[in-house]
Amino acid sequence: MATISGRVLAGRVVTAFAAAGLLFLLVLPVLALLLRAPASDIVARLSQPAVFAAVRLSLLTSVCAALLATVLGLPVAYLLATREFRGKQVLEAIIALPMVLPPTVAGVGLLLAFGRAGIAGRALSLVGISIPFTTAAVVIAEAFIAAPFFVGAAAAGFREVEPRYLEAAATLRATPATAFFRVLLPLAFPSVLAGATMSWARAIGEFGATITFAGNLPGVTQTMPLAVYVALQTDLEAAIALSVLLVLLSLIILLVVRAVPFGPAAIRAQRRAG
Amino acid sequence: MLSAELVKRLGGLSLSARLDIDAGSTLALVGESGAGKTTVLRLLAGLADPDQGRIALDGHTWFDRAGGISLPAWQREVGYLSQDYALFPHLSVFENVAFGLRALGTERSVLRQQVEAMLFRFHLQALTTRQPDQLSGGQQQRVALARALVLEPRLLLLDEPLSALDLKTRRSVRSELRRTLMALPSATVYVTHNPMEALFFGDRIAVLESGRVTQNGVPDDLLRHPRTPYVAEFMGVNLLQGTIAAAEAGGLVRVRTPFGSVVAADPGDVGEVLVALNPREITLHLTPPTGSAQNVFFGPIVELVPEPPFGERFRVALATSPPLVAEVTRHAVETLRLREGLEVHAAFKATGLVPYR
Amino acid sequence: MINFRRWWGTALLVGASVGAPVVIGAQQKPADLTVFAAASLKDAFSEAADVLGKRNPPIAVRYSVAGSQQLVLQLEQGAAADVFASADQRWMQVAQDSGLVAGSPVVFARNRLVVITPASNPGRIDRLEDLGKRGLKLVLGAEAVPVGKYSREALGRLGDAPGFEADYSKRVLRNLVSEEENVKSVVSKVQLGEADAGIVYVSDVTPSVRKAVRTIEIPDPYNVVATYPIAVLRQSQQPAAARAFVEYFTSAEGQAVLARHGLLPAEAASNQPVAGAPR
Repeated sequence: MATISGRVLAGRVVTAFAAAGLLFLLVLPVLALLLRAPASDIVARLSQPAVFAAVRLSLLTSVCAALLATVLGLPVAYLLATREFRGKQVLEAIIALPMVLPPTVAGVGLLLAFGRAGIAGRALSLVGISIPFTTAAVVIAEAFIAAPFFVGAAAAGFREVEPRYLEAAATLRATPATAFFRVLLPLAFPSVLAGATMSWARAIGEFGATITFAGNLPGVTQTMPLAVYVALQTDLEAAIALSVLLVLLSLIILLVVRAVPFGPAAIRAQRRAG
Repeated sequence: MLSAELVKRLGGLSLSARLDIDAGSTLALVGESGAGKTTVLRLLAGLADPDQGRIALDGHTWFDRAGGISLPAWQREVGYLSQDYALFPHLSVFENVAFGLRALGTERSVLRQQVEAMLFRFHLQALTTRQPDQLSGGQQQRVALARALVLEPRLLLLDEPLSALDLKTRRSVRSELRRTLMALPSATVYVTHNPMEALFFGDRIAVLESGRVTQNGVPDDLLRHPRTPYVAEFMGVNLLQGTIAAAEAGGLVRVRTPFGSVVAADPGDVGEVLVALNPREITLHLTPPTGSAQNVFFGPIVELVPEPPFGERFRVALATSPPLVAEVTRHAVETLRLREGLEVHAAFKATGLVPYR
Repeated sequence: MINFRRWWGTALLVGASVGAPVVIGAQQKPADLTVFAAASLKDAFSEAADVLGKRNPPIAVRYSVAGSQQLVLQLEQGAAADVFASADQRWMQVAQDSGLVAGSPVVFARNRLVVITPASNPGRIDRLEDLGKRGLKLVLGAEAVPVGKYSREALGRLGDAPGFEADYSKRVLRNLVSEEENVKSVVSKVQLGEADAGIVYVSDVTPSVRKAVRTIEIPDPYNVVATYPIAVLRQSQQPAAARAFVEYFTSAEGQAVLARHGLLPAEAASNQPVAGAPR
């Protein structure tokens, strides 16, 4: 019988304990939620108009926010990954800012910028556009908070693509735009998708910036996190049911994105092999 | 016709080279690693810009620092094959070859026709749907070539196209490649560090040493009149540098080198000269030779190397003064029982030796 | 052979990351009193804390301020506090029903509502009737928040007033764009100019708020008087100090402090309708 050295065994024991500790910290709250609310109760709640409205609103705004973050973030990620320029580090810090700001602070900032009396908001209101208290405001708040997650992941993905492929594309008459869409993006697709998913996950859970910038009105701006917060004060059971719903929704979508194969077949094969 | 003057400082390399290549001809660009060969290719392709200089092809200026012209790579009609081919891993063989035509917005049926014709020409028609990681080295090379050539580039740049292949593939591929290159209307630059490839593929050979072109000429030129020790070594030829010291009888002169003097044919000239000596002209003897060779040197064998492919000939490095490399048959090695350390007499005639400048 | 140095290093790191918060928490000396107070009491209670801190013996007070409904939720979930001051009877009743309260609560202050608009008055609201105009942005407290409940009551009463249509309340509420979780959020949204109008307590219009807003009075028969009950909590570890705190606010000195911050005295004049009382 082969013996394992004391060191290797000790290493494995420590790893097991650490892993168990972390899982305990992460899984127990979720498990507690799931065990507390009976499934039948959740389904019944879903049919309540207020709850249904919150679910629909959350799904709609988080997807829009993720899309917005992706569309606006792709060029930025491309710049950060491929070019060197003065002030690049400043730009990177600014883009990362929403990740470290307390969400409520972010909300105040958004108000001061896009609110009726805000820097840009003033001009917008002249053309009749008013953003706070609208569903669009929810999307903007969520996109603001979630965008850095996308840009970080996408830029990292772009950096991993070897320059020789882009150079080959250039010698094959591809303009930088063509090279981006036909070579860089397909090769970095798994990272880009992961970034979009992360930003979606962050968006659907967003609270502080939403309630400050967009307000709290059922059907218009009351997303699931806000609905949970409100329900918590009057009806604990409803709050738990909503929370469970949010957790299940997020779990399902995260699993789908991981399990279903997306992206060019060859890249997927490479990742499986490598 | 490609006409290029390139000046570039990159890392520790200081490049200053001038190249002229006729359409339809191949220039073999040789040199050590770090000499600047890949840099030259990248500058010609437009993947990097020279600090100073000009690049013009058939009268079209691609780059002119003084004139402020700098065409990016995708606007140059250039084909580039990097050492590892850089086939797009996420595209099939067909799509790889079609890439450039698609980038140009070629109409669908025209594109299909041209790609299929190219695939056929390179015997790739059975592999159209394969992915690059399912191809052998030789197949990958053909795809890379097809991909570049379907765009009919005016300038083709090949960076050591055979180095990624194993020996057997290399042998089977090179004749086909040479036929392809010879039939091309484009100017071609073929980078290699292998002398045999340079001689086989190059209509002309340019030697790059530490960023400078030290010799540029037809293969015969480099063989008979190498100008630097590196060129001589690359061509496998002995090179002696010295001064014509005195005249000798019979139309001969004595050339004094730092390592000893050599008798050569009278070039009708005086002063500093170079003398090239083909290794095959040297005969080896165990006892002082009695023939008419005017040059005899004595010294130990330092190295005895069989020549590929079959070892029928041997290169013998001698620590004579000056040091010499001789080439003899296997038969001679066996007969004389040559081995390292054995001291022999190396002899060669003066009549074939013509000093040059 | 196990490398002890590496082991102790790892163990220390793990222990520190888990233990530090515990140690730091234990080292924070508990303040003498923890008071849970409704948001509208924030400024008055802060001043009182200064005064009480200078007494002999001093009473050190720590405040947790939020919407009354949130405070009750936290107390029900086991938060530690000595005194609870609510902005309405409803939530104090909930606290009593949950068995959180020791003895009987005492009404120690009252408040009234006022309509505020940004100083620039983007909604062109000059009279109460204007609140019914189409397309305005109105911000109120959520129904669960005392000020939200009071606001809706007042709007309902105004519907009965001469010169107001019967569906006044409905029309005004159609302009609602956000339901805030405490009265201070309503104030800030109006202050920032984002909302056209909001209904808050008179005490919320502090000198600094006054610079950014205009006020519209709600006349007395229709205005709602909010009553603030205060009570010692059963869980309190210092019941004597807690009682002293409550007594301070019912004393003349405490009432003066409250008055300085816009709150009304505890005794109701006989002809004022009291919130929650049947009409």
